[in-house]
Amino acid sequence: MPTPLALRPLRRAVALTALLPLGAVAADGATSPQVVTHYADLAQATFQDALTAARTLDARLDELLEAPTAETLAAARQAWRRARVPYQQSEAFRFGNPVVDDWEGQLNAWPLDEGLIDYVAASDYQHELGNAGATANLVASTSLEIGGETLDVSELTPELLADLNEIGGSEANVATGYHAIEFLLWGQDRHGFEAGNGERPVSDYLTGEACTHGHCDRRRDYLDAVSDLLVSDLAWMANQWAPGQDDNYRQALLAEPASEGLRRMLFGMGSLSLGELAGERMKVALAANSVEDEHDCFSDNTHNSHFYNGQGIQNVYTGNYERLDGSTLSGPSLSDLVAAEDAELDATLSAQLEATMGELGELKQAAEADSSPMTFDMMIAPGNDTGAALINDAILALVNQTGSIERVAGTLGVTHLQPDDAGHRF
Amino acid sequence: MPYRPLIQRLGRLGLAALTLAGSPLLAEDSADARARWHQAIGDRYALLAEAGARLETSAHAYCEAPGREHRARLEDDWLDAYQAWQAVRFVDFGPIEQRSRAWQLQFWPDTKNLVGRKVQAWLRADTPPSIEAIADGSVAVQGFPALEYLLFDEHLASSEALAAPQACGLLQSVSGHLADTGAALVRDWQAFGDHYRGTDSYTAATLQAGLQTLESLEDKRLAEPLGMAGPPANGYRAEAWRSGRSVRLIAASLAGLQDSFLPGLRPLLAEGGQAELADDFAATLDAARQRATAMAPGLAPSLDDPEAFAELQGLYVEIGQLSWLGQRIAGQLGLVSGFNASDGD
Repeated sequence: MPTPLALRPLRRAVALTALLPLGAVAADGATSPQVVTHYADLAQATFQDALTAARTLDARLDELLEAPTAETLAAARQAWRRARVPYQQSEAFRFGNPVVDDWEGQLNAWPLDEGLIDYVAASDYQHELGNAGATANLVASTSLEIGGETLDVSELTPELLADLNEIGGSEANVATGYHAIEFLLWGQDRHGFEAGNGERPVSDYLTGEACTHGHCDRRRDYLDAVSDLLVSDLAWMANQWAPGQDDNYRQALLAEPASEGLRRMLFGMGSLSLGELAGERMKVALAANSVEDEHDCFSDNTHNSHFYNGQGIQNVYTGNYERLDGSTLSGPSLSDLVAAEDAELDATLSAQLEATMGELGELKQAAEADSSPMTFDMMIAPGNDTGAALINDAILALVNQTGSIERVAGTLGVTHLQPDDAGHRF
Repeated sequence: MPYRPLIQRLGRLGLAALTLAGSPLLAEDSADARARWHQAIGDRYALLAEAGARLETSAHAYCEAPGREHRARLEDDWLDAYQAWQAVRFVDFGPIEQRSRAWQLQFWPDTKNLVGRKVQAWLRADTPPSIEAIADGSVAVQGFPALEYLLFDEHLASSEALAAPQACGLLQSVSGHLADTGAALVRDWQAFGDHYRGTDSYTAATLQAGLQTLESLEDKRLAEPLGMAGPPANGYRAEAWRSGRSVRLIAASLAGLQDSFLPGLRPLLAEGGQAELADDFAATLDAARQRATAMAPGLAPSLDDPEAFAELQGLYVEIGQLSWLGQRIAGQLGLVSGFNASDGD
């Protein structure tokens, strides 16, 4: 909105400079606007890498559909795991930036009632109570009755699948995104707390007589469509953060006062640390011994999803991001700003972020050990004290860093961390 | 545009935590408010422990001589104890934080029926669990919802089902664990007293706990099951849907806020010259409690009954009013937001 001051740009600039808090200029010269700009660069690079990895996944999926063999299935699964690395780091940009938070459900919603998508073993399937779409099985059906409506789902297009998300009002109706692809690649994990993940046979993608579990043609169409949607969604998001455009989110964010950018950065770090990662993704699953609350429950890749969530939070603070190609992106950081204002606080939070990565690293090591690996769904088994300790240590580390993130907000003069102010202004 | 904006999930983001940051009003000594709160909350924990002990006794009596009378007593004692928990459930700091005790007492929300599956797993086992086995197991089977499953779920609808050795053994162990939890809370709350009374930041934490409970009553316990949060109505989203006692629990929560939240809130507001706001809040709280107490006990059964649904809407509006007063109180007392465990999605 134009203000009277906009008519006198020079005076306005002078006035704003006078209003900047002391901490806005770090010892090495980093300013708040530079830090927010670099944050946008980090987001752009992270989403760009997520897009690159999703394109590779898409190519592996095409190869799987071209020639369904154990090898092409294994390659597709590996590409999916790789695709999670940048994406999970990008979740540090989710809370606080409405453009991401409003969009991400189509990519990473969970837990899902996978019976919406394809066949499930009823004995190992518990869907959300009252969810009318929970056993719709889109692969096996050409029409879907829900909420008194009949929908034509004969042609499985990216647009149709996107429209089916949250159909009937249930968040568990997830038709798209990483976890839908994960389910289509692995199938249900029927091992409970024991070793082992989903064992979908590659013959689920064979045509003709060799097809297992029926409707392979539609399953193939589904996988193809859902992968295309993932790629186009990520391309859209990478573009939202790209420089040199006058009508995207980056431009809108950078037009805000820098203090608003700092608020979104800290809000994203804190929300992912505490409520989402420590709370929803770890504590619920552990305290209830609930494999339904495991994040990557089909593939048992949960330890990596958690690890790279933690990495994403650290990236936002340090301003560093290790890209898919191994290069490192660095620039003016929150850490620089805090160090100029309160060096001890900066040292504390830096150490806490590092400690969290250590704890999440232990989770990852345990899950990927050569002998007797312990995946996340084994860690949460009743009576597994070792597993519980691994998870509890990680939770505690995340709780600790969140306390310091709040202190940083205070130090930088960021006062409104509540979700309701997180926006929907864009 | 290659994406479709999804339904906003503000409801699931929950109320932001409110923490004290250099508030002009709370900078005053608020030890008096904390002393009152400590006493009032301690009284409520004592009631929970007593009700838990009665419930355990009733469970034993029923299993020794299953019959209509013992069964009715058991159901009454279950509801009494569950309500005693609601009354003090707003306290989310101190001993309740240890070992996920709040979830131990009530694992909720439970959209994927974990309670039912964990109870069923025990019912299929060869021998009933000991109290220790319950204490070491999933929070989903440690509390009131697990007992509710045993008492009210359709899987145990026949009159003899609960009297079977496996079911009765489970009933007694879960009741015993609940009673233990109640007793431990009483002890630990007393031991926590000096620290609580002597630590200024607990003033904000207690205010936050009470005010956040109003938000959760409005958004999670009413709007979601009633279909006022976006998605259509879904009775399974209500607490205590199996027994049809959702509104009784809400009434008990409101009564608990009256008895153990108001005592510290009033002097704080009065000191800040806001006695009138305190009166408004107390009056609205009392009206909401009276309304809830007079209503039909369940929520889900009222979804298809226009008259009963209108009653629920009235309660929802009244609690919304309370919640709004709560936000004004937060503003007056200078509470600012921070992160809390419900920030995720």
